[in-house]
Amino acid sequence: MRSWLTTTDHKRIALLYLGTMTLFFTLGGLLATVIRVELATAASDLVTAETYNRLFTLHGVIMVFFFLIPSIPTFLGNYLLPLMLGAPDLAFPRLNLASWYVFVAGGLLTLTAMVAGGLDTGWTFYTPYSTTFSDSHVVLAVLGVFLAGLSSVFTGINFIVTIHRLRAPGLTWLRLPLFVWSHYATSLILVLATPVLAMTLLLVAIERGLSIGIFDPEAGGSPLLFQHFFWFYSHPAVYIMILPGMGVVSELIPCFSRNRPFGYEFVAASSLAIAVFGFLVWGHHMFVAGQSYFASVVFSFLSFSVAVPSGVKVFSWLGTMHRGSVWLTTPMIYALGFVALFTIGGGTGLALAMLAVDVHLHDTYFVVAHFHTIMVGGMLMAYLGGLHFWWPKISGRLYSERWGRIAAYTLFIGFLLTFLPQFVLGTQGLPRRTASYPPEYQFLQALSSAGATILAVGYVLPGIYLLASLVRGRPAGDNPWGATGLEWRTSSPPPPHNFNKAPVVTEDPYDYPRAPQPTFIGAGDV
Amino acid sequence: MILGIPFELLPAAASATSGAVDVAVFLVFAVIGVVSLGVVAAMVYIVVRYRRRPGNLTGRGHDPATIWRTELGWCALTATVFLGLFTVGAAFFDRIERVPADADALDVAVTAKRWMWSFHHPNGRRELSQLHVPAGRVVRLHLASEDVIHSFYVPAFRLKHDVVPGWLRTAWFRATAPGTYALACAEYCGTEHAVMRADVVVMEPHAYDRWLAQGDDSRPPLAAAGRALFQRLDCGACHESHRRRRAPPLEGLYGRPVALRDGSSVIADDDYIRRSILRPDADVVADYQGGVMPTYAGLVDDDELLLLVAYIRSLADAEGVSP
Amino acid sequence: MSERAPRPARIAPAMSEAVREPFADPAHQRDAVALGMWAFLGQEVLFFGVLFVFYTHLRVRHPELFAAFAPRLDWRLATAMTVALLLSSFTMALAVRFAFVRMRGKLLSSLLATTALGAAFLAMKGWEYAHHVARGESPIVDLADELGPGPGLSTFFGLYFVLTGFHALHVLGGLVALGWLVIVAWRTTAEDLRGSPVMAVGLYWHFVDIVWLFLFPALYLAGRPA
Repeated sequence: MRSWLTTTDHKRIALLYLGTMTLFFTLGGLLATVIRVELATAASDLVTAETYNRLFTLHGVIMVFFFLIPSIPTFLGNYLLPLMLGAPDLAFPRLNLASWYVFVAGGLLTLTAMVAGGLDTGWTFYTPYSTTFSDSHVVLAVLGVFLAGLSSVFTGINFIVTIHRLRAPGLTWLRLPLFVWSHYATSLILVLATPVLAMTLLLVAIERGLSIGIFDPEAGGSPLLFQHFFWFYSHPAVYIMILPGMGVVSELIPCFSRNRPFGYEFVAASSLAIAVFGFLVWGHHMFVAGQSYFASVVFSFLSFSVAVPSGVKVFSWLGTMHRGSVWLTTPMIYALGFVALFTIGGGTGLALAMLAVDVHLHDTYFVVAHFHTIMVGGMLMAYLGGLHFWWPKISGRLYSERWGRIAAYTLFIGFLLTFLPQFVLGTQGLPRRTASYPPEYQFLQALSSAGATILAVGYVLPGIYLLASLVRGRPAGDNPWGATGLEWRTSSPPPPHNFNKAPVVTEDPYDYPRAPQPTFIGAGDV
Repeated sequence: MILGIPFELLPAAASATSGAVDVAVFLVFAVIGVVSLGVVAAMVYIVVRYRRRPGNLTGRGHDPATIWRTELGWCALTATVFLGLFTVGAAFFDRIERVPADADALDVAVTAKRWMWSFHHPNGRRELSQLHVPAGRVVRLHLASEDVIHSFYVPAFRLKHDVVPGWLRTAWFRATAPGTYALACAEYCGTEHAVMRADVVVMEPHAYDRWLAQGDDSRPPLAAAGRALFQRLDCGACHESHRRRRAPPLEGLYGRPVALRDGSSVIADDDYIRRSILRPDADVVADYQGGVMPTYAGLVDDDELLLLVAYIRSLADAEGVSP
Repeated sequence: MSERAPRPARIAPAMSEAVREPFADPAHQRDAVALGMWAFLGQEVLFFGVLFVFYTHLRVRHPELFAAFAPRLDWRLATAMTVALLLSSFTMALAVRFAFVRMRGKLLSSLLATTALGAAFLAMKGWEYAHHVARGESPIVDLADELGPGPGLSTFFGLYFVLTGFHALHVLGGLVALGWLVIVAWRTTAEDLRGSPVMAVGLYWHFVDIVWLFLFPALYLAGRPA
């Protein structure tokens, strides 16, 4: 126990993160369960409106700041970056451990706010509601989120330095795995966007204590200034969540198609393009907030520009599978689910970037469905895909492939049933964040709640069979999937300093046509 | 109708701009549908056609020239489609945003307050949680919030506009068909946000006139109430015509550009008038001295500001003493 | 930043703390520490950036606040603070140099000089804060507002306290780091001195100094007649 809490081994810290985030995800999921049960009927009968507002706020805060943003970088990124780079550890191992402690401290503060009476501002903390009107525990919660942000900054700095300075001999930039490229882009956003949120939230806390008037129009401040600051972080934060997922999928699809990635340079460059353009689109959250027509037009245009590199990703994934040897293993099912849901989620994002359409759809269930499709559909599918892909490497064991596939399909179907109805609800004009709603929306709301039960089963299943594999699973061997990449050249799980002999890279990445065939044979496979 | 259940993707369109929004919605939904189904179909085809089987255990890849050609082609294709969507969205948005300068437009003051909507008609009639308007006439909404940010959302009109404390915003609609339409608050505003709803009752013009006449006549019209307040606060001491050297004239001011002392210029809209009452030295008009007018912050509340704005608006077409 | 060829990572033979650092040699480590610190300073720029955007907002919307209240700030004292910080940057630069050439005595004295100058800055700042709070010029003490309701004294001094407060906290953080460097240097022999921690703290210290060079004219000299 003590050796775990003082470890500087990136692999152990990654597992600490995995454990912590699983707890947060479970908590956020339970909150979502209560929300969906409440919304099955039109009236607010299970919980009061006041409680409902606290439920969706905490669901949002916990899921966004304590699961979605850190999920892939701090777990898979932390575990895999040094392995993929052929390095013994991250550049600053002690800073890495400190990040985890800061993250846990932030989580505890937020949980304290929750236990002490909750928070009812929505995860967006919009002023002046959060500064003046809310009588919930805003200060505790924003300090918790501030600490989580600080932890993100540390992680981002660590990744950037590691990728720049700790690559194995011969591992040039254009030989980096696409997973590393996407984490590099993510780290840039983490380091350059998070401080803006951090300061903004501190100002909210100061404003609540001292009422200086930073966001108060009567004192010379502006509530819109808050929105600009908030979205300057929180829109790029969307790319913090999705870029690592894209990185995971870019590893999975070549492996299970036995092909080189289609347009490696395009995929790598599109990660950077998304990161850069992601900084320039925050205003599309404010089309109806009263910013100038000119500003709205510019932000709309830039938002469409981000869609081009995203389109490149989808096209390249399809191209990679084309003329390949496509093998529908559990990770691959998740990867394909990601591609489908990311396309739907990204496409509906185009609808929201379109000015006239956004006037109707802004702040309705359409928005809720859109970002859940990207975040839950996309990001979580990629997270689970990555978890299943590298689970044999991390644990040294094989899980039940049959149950894996059942869970993946269950999740995909449950997801569609939960969120497709919400697109319709939003188009019909139901605003989001409402504890009760007019009865004409009840059919679709109930359908969505029913879908959520299937979704919940899809989340619980992997927890069961992955844990079971630790006890009963067959040994995985070093490279069960026949994958390329340095992480597969060491034992499963890897030794404390990753490689017994320093790796030297002499060939391009993803040389699947010449890679060894998988040692893993699933049900009905060849 | 789907499976016998009444089903409509969009609420029945009922305003002059909702048709345009619907065209944009269907356009972008069609693009989303084609792309999503296309991607799924392509995946299914590839998964079946190139499935792993004896004889196909290794991918066959693509040559770099093909990759570069198709990737660049794909970028060009998507960029073109996106540019088209952007243009349509921006063009229709312009129609929604631009408040028409109709002579017979109806000006309604809207005050949002947790958690109700109140409306103030030009003849002084007030109503809560119900807004009666005539069909076929432009209704200009002057939106003010007394506390937090709310959002004025009428799905049937495809109209949404945030109501931000500290600002006066203007939005508009022209209802096309009589009926009752739901108005909801779309920006989360606290405990009872979900029930911060109201009905917009669109009536035939003659029915609306009758309704208006039935109202409680004891209340003065909006502009008259504003004029009374204007006099009570003694604004005329400087702003009425014979004292023009101290303060700029208000006749013909509303909606027109104003040259400021620092060389810039602003449109005299609701928000400018509000700001000038609360912070007179923020935008001093060209040829006038700053530091003359005291601030009225704390002396007039949001409702009263709407009255003053209504009065100044009523002077929009009055003849000023032109210099 | 220039990109160097990646160096081979050292594979640790045993699991002791000393070999945990994943770097091949001191130069490699110095490189990585510098890059990490630059990345950290990049995020600091955006952190303070929020405050400067807020400053610009107020300056443009309410120039009268600066005309009315900026003269109440003591620019002479602020000049003295500026001199103290500039001198401390100079002694810090010396410290970095002495650390790399392993001159332990001179390193210690320049570190101590930097610490003293930083502490002097904070002392002056604290005196200034006490002075303003005593006169009711702070958002904490809610005295009669000279401009009536709306933006006024509390807005301006709120801005002043937030801007300088976050800067002062950064100076305080720098002092803690300097104290740590002094202790490490005190305990180490000249041969074992490592330059990169001193260099990292030095970069940070110069950054904090630069932030002040923006704050000084923005607050103390703004709104004054030419």
